[in-house]
Amino acid sequence: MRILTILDRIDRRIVYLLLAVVVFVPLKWTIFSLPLPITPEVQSAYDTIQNMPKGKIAWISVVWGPGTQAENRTQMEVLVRHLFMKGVPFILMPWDQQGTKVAEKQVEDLAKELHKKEGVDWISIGYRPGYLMNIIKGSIINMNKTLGTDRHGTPLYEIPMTKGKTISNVGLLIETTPSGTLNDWISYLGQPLQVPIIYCPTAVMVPDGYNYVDTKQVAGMLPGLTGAAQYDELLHHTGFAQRGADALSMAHALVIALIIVGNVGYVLTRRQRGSA
Amino acid sequence: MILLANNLAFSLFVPQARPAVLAAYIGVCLALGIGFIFLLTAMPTRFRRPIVIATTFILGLFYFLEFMFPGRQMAPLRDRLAAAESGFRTAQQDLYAVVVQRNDVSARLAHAGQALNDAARSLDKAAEMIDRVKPDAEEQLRRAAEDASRWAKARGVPGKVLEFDAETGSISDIRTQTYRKRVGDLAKAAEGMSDARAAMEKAQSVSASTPPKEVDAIRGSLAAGADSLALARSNLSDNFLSPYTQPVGDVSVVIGAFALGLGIYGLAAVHAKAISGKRPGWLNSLAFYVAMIAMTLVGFLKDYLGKRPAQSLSESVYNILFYGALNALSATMFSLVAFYIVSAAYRAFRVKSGESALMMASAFLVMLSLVPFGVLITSGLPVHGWASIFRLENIGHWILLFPNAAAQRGMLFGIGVGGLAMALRVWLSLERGSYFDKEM
Repeated sequence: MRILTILDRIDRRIVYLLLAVVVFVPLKWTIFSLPLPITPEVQSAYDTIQNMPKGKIAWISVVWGPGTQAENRTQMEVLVRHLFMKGVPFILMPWDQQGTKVAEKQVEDLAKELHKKEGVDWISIGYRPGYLMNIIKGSIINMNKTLGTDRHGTPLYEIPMTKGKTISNVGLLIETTPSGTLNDWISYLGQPLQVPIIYCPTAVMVPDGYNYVDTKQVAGMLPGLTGAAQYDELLHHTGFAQRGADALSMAHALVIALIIVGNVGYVLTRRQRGSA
Repeated sequence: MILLANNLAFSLFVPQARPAVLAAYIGVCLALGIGFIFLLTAMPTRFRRPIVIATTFILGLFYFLEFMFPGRQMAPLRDRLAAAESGFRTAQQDLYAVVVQRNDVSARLAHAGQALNDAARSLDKAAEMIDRVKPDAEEQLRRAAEDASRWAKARGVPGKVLEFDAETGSISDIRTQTYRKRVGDLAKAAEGMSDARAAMEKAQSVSASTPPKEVDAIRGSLAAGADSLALARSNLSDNFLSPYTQPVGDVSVVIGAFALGLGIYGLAAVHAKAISGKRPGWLNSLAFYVAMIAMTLVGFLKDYLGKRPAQSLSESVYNILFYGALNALSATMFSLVAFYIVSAAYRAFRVKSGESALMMASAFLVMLSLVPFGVLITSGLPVHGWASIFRLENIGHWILLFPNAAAQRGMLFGIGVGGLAMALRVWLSLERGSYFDKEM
């Protein structure tokens, strides 16, 4: 009877402690390195960058802040790594005040590691408040004028990477987001101008994202941290993404184990009450 | 008086305005805006309500009419492009059936041919219309540019208000821009039509003996052609209200900015009351003031101190506050959710019925399929062949791509209809809000 009660009512502090342990250990030490199959949407995202024509630039939209950086920053990191490796210049477009600093720091670190130069291989336009729809529509008419200056205040038409470039030079959009901003990109950029979109949502938004994968309105998707880990594997690189995927594995296993334990306790307690 | 106001407005609007004048202008606009918001808040509800109803209705009506009114010269051209696009889409569907089903190939090809012939006729008529409209549009552009230049010369200023193109270094007025856009749109439409025509010619050559791969490639070109026609059509949507969409859009951005200011004011007022009345938790209110003032002050100092030793100090403090405190706190707040989710899943996820058992089974499968641990469980099964469908990653992928996507789409339709009803309520000011004491 006592065991059944324990199974049915594990103290929440024990649950918290268990979760902290199973997340912390794989993040700190790489002890598992479990195999990761590559799903079609991640492979398709990889192929999209791999097959980008020369002379095209990419836009990276940063809608996230520190709250979801474990997923969104990691997704951005693996994609930026690939763009740098492939030599595709990109414009970082942050729409979140806090996320701006975090994303720019991440790109700066990667640029340093891979010996890439700001203004030639990448630029950031800095934090931009405003309606996404207006900015996309304005960029269709005149990209450099609408986006204006980079984060240091240099006009885009003076920067070698963007000088003389128009919207027709944009060959890819990467949307890293924890919120529903994808529709605007699809409606105003992806569909009318046939610009491929790589969608990087947080795990809770992944079920919604499969609608757009199915209709091919997005060229590829990185589903949460696991998607980033798969992408890292495609790049033959081992980083935070894979340790994060291991931690996620353990956390999922813990949740499933707890639900099973809770249900066993619940069923047996009910049966015992019925027989009494 | 009008001339004075005009010159004053112009001297303020031109980009070469002196910083002091510009700062004064911004200050006056800000004061006027804040004054207006205070006035609106202090006003009795019976006066406030009609003002808000009228503003909301007029702005909504503007967008509604702009969307509904056809372009005066462009409407027939848009109709022709829409007809051509429809022909392309029909032919594309027929070719899809030819490639996938391989049934009634000759009938499908004949139907596709008919649709393409209709599309070709529509494209011919659209091309005739462009040839007819384009000289007028070019003439209007020339006249508008001349008027602007004459106006500017008479007043000794570089242009007639008020758009400065940093790339070309020129200044132009709204009228000139409108006509320039129209000329550009017509050129783009002609370009889109030429792309579409090339795809159409290829599609007309398809016969029953064409290899399916080739038919599929042509089908793709037809889809791209239809998309370029759709883009050309959507660009040609100018009527007498269209030139004003940008200024009206700017108004909404400015109102949004004021809403931010109003939010800070509301927050500050609530916490000031809590501190002055020493209400329970007033120390938290004090923390709000300290945090807001410290972050604002350090943020400004970091950017505006220039290259002085104090700047590096303020930058260090800023980094501590931003990365050390704000970022860490934001991430912590979000991470706490994980602990609650696990605890809630353990407590609430009980199999009490058949439906809950089904939900649990699908949740387990999807959760396991998304992480390496789950994939490891069925890694012994072959990657290819019929047995591969039992691998967890494939089961999870199927659940997400089919049953989940179907359910999500159903919900999206429902949300869309609900959103439309809600938008109508807001536009017609039927929505109850905290700003008003009862339904308007």
